Amino acid sequence: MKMTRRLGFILVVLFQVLILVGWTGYNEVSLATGKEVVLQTAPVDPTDIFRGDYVQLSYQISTLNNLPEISTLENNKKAYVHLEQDGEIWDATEVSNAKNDSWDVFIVGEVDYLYLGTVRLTYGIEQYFVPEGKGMAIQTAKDIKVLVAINGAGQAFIKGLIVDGKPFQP
Amino acid sequence: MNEEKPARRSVSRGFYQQLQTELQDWKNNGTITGEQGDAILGQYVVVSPLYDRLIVVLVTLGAILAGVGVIIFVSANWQEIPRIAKLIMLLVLVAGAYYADYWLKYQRSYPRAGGAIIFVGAMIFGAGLFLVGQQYHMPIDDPKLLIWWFIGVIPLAYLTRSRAILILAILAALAGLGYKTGHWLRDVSEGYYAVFAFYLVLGTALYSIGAVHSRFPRLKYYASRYQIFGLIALLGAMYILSFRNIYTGYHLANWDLNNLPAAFFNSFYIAAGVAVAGAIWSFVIDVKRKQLAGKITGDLAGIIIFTAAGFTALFLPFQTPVIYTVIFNIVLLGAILGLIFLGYFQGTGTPVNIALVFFGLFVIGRYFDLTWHLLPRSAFFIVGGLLLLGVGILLERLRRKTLRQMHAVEVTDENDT
Repeated sequence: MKMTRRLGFILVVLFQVLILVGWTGYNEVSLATGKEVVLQTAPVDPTDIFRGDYVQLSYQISTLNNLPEISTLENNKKAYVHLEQDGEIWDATEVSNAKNDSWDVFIVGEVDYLYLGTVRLTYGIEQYFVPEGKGMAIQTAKDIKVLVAINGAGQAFIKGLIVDGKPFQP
Repeated sequence: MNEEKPARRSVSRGFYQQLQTELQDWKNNGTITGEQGDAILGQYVVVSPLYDRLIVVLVTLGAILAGVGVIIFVSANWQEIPRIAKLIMLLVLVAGAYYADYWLKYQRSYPRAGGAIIFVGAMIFGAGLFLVGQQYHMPIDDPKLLIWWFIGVIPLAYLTRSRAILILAILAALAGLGYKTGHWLRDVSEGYYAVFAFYLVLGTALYSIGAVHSRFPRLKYYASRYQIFGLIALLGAMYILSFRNIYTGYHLANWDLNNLPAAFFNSFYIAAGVAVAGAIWSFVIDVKRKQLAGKITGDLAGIIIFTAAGFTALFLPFQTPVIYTVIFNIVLLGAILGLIFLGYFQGTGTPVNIALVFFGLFVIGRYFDLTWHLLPRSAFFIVGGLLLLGVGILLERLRRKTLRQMHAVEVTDENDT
């Protein structure tokens, strides 16, 4: 009984540690091996009482229109967005409800809403957390770009912010 | 608690006094000798429940303070510490809390303090999930974190026989699933309505899981927590669905199931499936053990009725609003009365207390429900009141008849409320 209880304890602790380490590992690998792209963005609004300060970001690729495949998208469903480089910035050139193998770089988003040929998407990179009180520098900046790593599944991870042309140091 | 059994069992003062009275009676009528009586009494020792509770309250408050401290530490978003170092720190805290619990509980016999520390461990694990999310700038409104919290701590609740951790897990699951459902339905016209229908079946599923637990001696300990939170969720949803103005006017005419996403339906069907499967499983166990009695199995019928009510709420098959008001009010009132009966038959107070709270809400709700005219409202209250009075009188007669048949004398129990 004593042995099984101890073993049970060890297994449960390992299970929890595995969840935390596994998730961190996945994120770290995605950051290290993902394709780096720079996205144009603008801050929206701040602060969350539970998790310190953060800046809400809205990307150039968050709202799409004038793309033919928008009509195939559905609310709350995945959207695959083809990205192509235009100077420093990467921008959306195509969108679809399914992955297209001919695409070199793509990012997966979720359809937030659809209205008259315009679609609003979220990519899970809309929040950037900063130390308490450091959010204002971002709020007042003229130009914000985000360096993102996109893994093979199209999931994006924020690597860093480029504020007025300089890497942001919190 | 699972501590090693001492030679003398600690009991409440009420039980000890009652035992003393009974033993005195048995000694007087010669059933047992004086020595036997003393030997029996000698197996028990009175421990003041106040002292016991004081310890529990203090260690629980301490656990909550420490847990909140860790969460605030996460909020501070201390960027000077590298990501990996922060993770290692958290892992050490989690493992340390569990080790401290194990040590206190099983090696030093401090079950209460140990129990509180393991709760801190479960909180730190949750904080760890949010920390990892924050490190990688993941969206905060992702219910997946709550679901992972649930998955991570639920085995712990069973391993350590901790109902506090079970409650934490249940609340994380309820909040996570509700959050996710709300997210799916945010753009659906009148989508909030489907959330109530979902919580109705989700609460029923929890209750059903509790019913299965109550049928296994080793799991019985957890049953009440599933059932209490299931009841609160399902009765809360049912209460909101019992208001007439939900069905009048715009809503019913515009309710279109095609607007609801498939993921919502899947979750709804899974919850309903769990509810029904739990009821059937419990029923089969009762049949096998030949324990099929109305008072044990009555709640299984309730599970089926509530699941059906959930489907009615979601699919709205009838065209007249008044039908829904009637159905949901009858089911709600039936559930309240059923719970009161169940509580008394099982000898547990909690279902009765929950039923009484919702009865109070029900009366207030119907009294101020201005969509009903005064006359039907007054008729409802008078008929309802007379019905309850009638049932009460009938029960009193039955009880007297049973007592007469058993040649029993009525004794008042001090513990009765």
